[in-house]
Amino acid sequence: MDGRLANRWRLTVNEKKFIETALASNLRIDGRNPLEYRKIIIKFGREDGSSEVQLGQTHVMGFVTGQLVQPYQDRQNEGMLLIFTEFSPMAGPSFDPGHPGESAVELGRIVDRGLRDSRAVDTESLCVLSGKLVWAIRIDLHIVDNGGNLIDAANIAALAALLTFRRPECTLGGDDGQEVIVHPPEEREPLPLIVHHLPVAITFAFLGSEGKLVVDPTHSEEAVMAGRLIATVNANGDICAIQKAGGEGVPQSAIMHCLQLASMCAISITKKINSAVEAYSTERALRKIKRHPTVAGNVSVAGSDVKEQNKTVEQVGGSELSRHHIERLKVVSEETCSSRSNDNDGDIKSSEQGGTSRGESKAMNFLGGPSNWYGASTFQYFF
Amino acid sequence: MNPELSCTDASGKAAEFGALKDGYMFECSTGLSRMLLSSPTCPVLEALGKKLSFEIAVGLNGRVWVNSNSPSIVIIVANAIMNSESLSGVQQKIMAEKLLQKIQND
Repeated sequence: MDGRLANRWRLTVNEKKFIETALASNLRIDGRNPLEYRKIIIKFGREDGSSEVQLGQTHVMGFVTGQLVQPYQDRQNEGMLLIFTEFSPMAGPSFDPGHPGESAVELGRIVDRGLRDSRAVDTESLCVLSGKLVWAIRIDLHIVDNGGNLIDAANIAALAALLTFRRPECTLGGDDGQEVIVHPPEEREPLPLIVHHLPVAITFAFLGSEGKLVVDPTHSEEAVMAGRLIATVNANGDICAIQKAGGEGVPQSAIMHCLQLASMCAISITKKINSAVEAYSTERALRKIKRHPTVAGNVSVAGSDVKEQNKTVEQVGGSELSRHHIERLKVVSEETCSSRSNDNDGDIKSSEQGGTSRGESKAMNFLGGPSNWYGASTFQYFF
Repeated sequence: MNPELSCTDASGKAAEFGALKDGYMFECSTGLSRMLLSSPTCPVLEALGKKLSFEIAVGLNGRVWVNSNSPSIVIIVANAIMNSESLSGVQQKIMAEKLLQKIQND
């Protein structure tokens, strides 16, 4: 919380009056203007599919995990998407550890509707064996600090976690082709989820008797607001969901205005999410490079560095050449990895790229002497 | 029950106490409120007082009330005080001056 000692859900008359008076001159109590978003910071954990989002004082963490389960009877070819929210009592004194309150359920439903109804996550690609085994993707949202506007922050956390989540690859094997083999990450590179677009939730609060509009309300603004509208839109301008639960009546013109503002905000938020995810994916791919102690200098992604090493390796001699081949392969497979993660639109070509890079990534995991020869001999036809 | 409040000083006289009208009341830590009430004026209030005119009432319970002619000044003062929670004297002065400069440039 804001440096305040009491997270009061209903503020004093004085505070309410001042918030409304300030809004009459287009000022908000934290100095923003009415249509401005707070600063968004997106961070990721060590594991794939864990994200941490800070929206001003609001702090939400998202975790995505996957599990193989039996599909629903009426959807035998589709995977499942499950969303669970946990409102930690450290987020605010109004949150009970046990059962979720009304706002917790509402938050879960809004995030769920935005992802499911707009078919943002491709559930058909999650099917492994039709009618028997599908992937169930579970999103856990933990509210760590409530500084207002939990829904937007939770939505961004869910999207960031979904984009960085990697599920193990499964192949069908066995005598009748009905046995499912789940490959561990050391054997085969885990695959990202296919996410077609990013539905971003934008919350609008209506304050005062004239229903003045503010975007991204803080906790005190939420305590004095007369009504709230949450619009989930994506960067293409498609409306994925709208939620207005109770509160003051709002004219139709105000709703249309909100939707227009929402699509503009969604474009900038989508850009922030994508750049954060890209930075994480590049860093993740860099982590996978195994550095050989024998070759002079470090292996790096930039093409120019590899060319320099070409010269030094040729000077060293023939026995080093095999390791040089493997370095070249690492750079190639790493480039395909990072370009694969850029395919957020979920084209089929992403799975094809996955096929070729998987073969090359086998070379990446070799550690010592004799296996170098295996790598070199297999790929000699490249050179 | 209808409570009635009256504000008097120790000898029972009114002495400028009374209901606080308008303005904005916010909360801070009790340590900060003690610093705001300290005898050589606290650096953040001094820096703000040089450029802005405002009225302030600080309670030892951590409640601060600020009032001024325009809401923008009230917001500036409130945010400056809330930001000076963990800053030393010199840092407070610098923070307040930076905030004032930013407002003047807009």
